[in-house]
Amino acid sequence: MRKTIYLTLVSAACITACHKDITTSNQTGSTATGNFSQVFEDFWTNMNSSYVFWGVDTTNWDNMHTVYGPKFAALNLYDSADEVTANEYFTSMVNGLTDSHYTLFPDGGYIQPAHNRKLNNPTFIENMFQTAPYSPSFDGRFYYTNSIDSLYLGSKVVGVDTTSAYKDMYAITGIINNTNILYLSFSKFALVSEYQGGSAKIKAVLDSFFAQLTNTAITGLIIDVRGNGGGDISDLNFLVGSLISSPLNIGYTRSKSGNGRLDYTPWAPAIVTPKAGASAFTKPIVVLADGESVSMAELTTMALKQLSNTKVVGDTTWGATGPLTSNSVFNAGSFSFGKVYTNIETGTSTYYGNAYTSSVMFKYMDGKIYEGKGFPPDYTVKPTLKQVLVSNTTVGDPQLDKAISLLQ
Amino acid sequence: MIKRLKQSIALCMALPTILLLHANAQFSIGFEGGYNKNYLITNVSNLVSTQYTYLSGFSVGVPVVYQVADWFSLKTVPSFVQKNYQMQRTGFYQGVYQNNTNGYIQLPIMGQFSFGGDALRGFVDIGGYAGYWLTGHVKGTMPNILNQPAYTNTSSNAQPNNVFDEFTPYNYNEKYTFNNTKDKRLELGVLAGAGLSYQLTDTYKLYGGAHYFNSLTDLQKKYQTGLVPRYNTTYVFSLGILYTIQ
Repeated sequence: MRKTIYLTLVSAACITACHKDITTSNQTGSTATGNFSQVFEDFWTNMNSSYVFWGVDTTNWDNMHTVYGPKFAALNLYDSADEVTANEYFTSMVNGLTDSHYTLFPDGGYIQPAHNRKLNNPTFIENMFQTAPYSPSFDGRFYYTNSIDSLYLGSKVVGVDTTSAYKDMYAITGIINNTNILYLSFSKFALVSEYQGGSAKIKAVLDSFFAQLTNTAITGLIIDVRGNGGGDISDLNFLVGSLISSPLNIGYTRSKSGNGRLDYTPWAPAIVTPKAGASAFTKPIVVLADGESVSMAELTTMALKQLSNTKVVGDTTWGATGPLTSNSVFNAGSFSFGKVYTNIETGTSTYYGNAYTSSVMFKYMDGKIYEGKGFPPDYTVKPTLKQVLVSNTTVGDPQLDKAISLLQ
Repeated sequence: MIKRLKQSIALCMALPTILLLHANAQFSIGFEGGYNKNYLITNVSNLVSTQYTYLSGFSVGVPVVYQVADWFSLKTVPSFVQKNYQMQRTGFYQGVYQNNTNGYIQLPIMGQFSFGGDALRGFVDIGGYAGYWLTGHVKGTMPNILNQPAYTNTSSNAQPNNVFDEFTPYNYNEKYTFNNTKDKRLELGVLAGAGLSYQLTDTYKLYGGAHYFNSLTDLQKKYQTGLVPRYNTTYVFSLGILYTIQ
C-alpha cells in the first residue's frame, strides 16, 4: 500500500511539472541586436503583437517569415548595400498591409505602403501633379485655396500660422457668395491647440465660424476637409461637438489584448461629446472630402455623416481611420525594433527602425471597417486636372459647386 | 503527445465498463461542489505593465465511483467548472483589467487509491481529463481613445498620474464571442489530488479533497507562427457525498 501511495505521489509531482517553459519568441528591443536576423525577428514579432489589423488584414505574415527570414539572414548589417536590399525586403513585406497610417522607418528608409499603392492608381489626385510643375503651397493644401478665396468667399476670415508646432496651419471661413451658406476649411486638425495657445489669426477664424453657427440667417454649412492630413483627436469634440447637443455614437474601437495576432479587446463605443451649451445644428451640412482626406479628416467626415442632415461630396477618403497613441497604452500600435546600440552612460537605446501604426481599429456605425478602403462620398465629384493646376481666379471648384447646389 | 493523451483518456473511459464485470465491485454515485482558483499560464513579459493573476470560481459535478478493491477505485466526475483569470495592468496603467470568466464541462477519469481505517480514509487521485470551453464572459475596464471628455476652453498642463487622467475609462461586461480561428475549446490535461472520506452509514460517504488540474493543451489553435501558448492550471477544493448503489 505504501508503495502505491508513494508511486501516486511521485506521479502527481510529475503532473504538476508537465508544462514546458513559456517564453515570448522575442521582446521589444530586449536583445542586443548585432545582425539582420535579429532585426528581422524583432520586427516580425512586434508586428504580431502590436499591429491591430490582423483580424481584417489579408497579408500572410507567417509566409513573410518563411520567405524573408533567410533573406535577411544573408545580409550584413554593416554593409550599406545590404541596407538598401533590406529596405527593399521591408517594402515587399509591408506592401499589402491594411493600415493606411502605416509607415516604416528602417535605417535610412521611409516606406508608406498605402501611399505607394495609391501612386499606382492613375486617378489618384497626387498623380495629377506628376505631369505639372506643381509644388505644394505653404498652407499644405494641394489645391482649391486660391479659387475658393477669390471666387466663392466674398466676406471671409483667413488665418495662417507658420510659426507654431503646427506650422503651415491654414484656416478659412466665410459665407459663400450670393448665399447664406457658411463655409469652413482648414489644412490640419490642430484646432484646439491653435485655439488655446496658437495663432490669434486661426483663433479669429474659428471664433467667426462658431459665431456664424448661431446666426439664424445661415441656411447650410460646408465643412471642407479635402487635402486635410488629419491631426489631433481632441478636435473631434471641439468641431463636431459644436454641432450637436447630445453624445453622438460614431462607431467602435478595439485594440490588442495580448501577443497573439487575434487577441483583441472588446469593441468600445466611439463617442463625440458635445461642447457645453452647444445647440444641435439642424440645417443641412455638406462635408467635402477627397483622397487626401486622412485620419481625423476621415473620422470627422464619418462623424458628421452620422447626422441625418449631412451629405458627403467629393471622393473616397484615404482610408486611415485607426487612431494612434503611445504603444504602452494598449500594448499595440507604433513600435521600435532591432536594438542596435545602447549608450551605457545614458541608457539610451538606438533601434534599427520604427513602425508608425494605428493603436486601435475603428469600426463605423454601419458595421464596416473602412481602414485601407476609404470612406465613400454620397456624391462622387472628381477634381479636374485644370482645377488642380490653375491656381488663379478663374477656375471653379466642381466639388464645391456640387456642395452649394445641394444646399440651395 | 495530444494523440497519445487522447488514447489514454479513451482507455480510461473504457476501463470502468470492463471493470463493471467485476463481481465484488461497488458502484456509487453522488454530488460534489467546490471552490477553485485558476491560473492562466503564459508569458506577457514583453507587454508593458501587464500581468495575469488567478481568479476564483466554482465547480459542481456528479461523482461516479466504481470500487474495484478496498484500496482502489475508478472515479469520474462529469462537472461544470469555472476557469477564471484576470489580466491586470500595473503602475501608470493601474485600473485597466479584464476578468475572464470561463465555463467548462469537464470529464475527469481517475484512479483513486485509498488507505486508512473503516470509516475515515484518505485517498489519492491520479488521472486525466477532457474539457470543453462552453461559455466565456469578460468584464473589465480599458482606456477609450475615442470618447474624450467634452471640450473646455481651458487647457490643462497637469502631469497625468494614471492612464485614466488621459483617457476616459470604458467599463464592459459582456459575453465573450468565440473566435473559431483562434480559440481551441477542447482541453485535455492531467490531474492529481488527495483528500479524506468518512463513511457515514453503510450507503453514504462524505468526502473532501483538493485536486490539481493541469492542462496540456493550449487555449489557442496554432493559427500563427510564434504563438505564445496559454494553459489553464486549476486548483479545486471540493466537498461531496456518495451513495452506494450496490
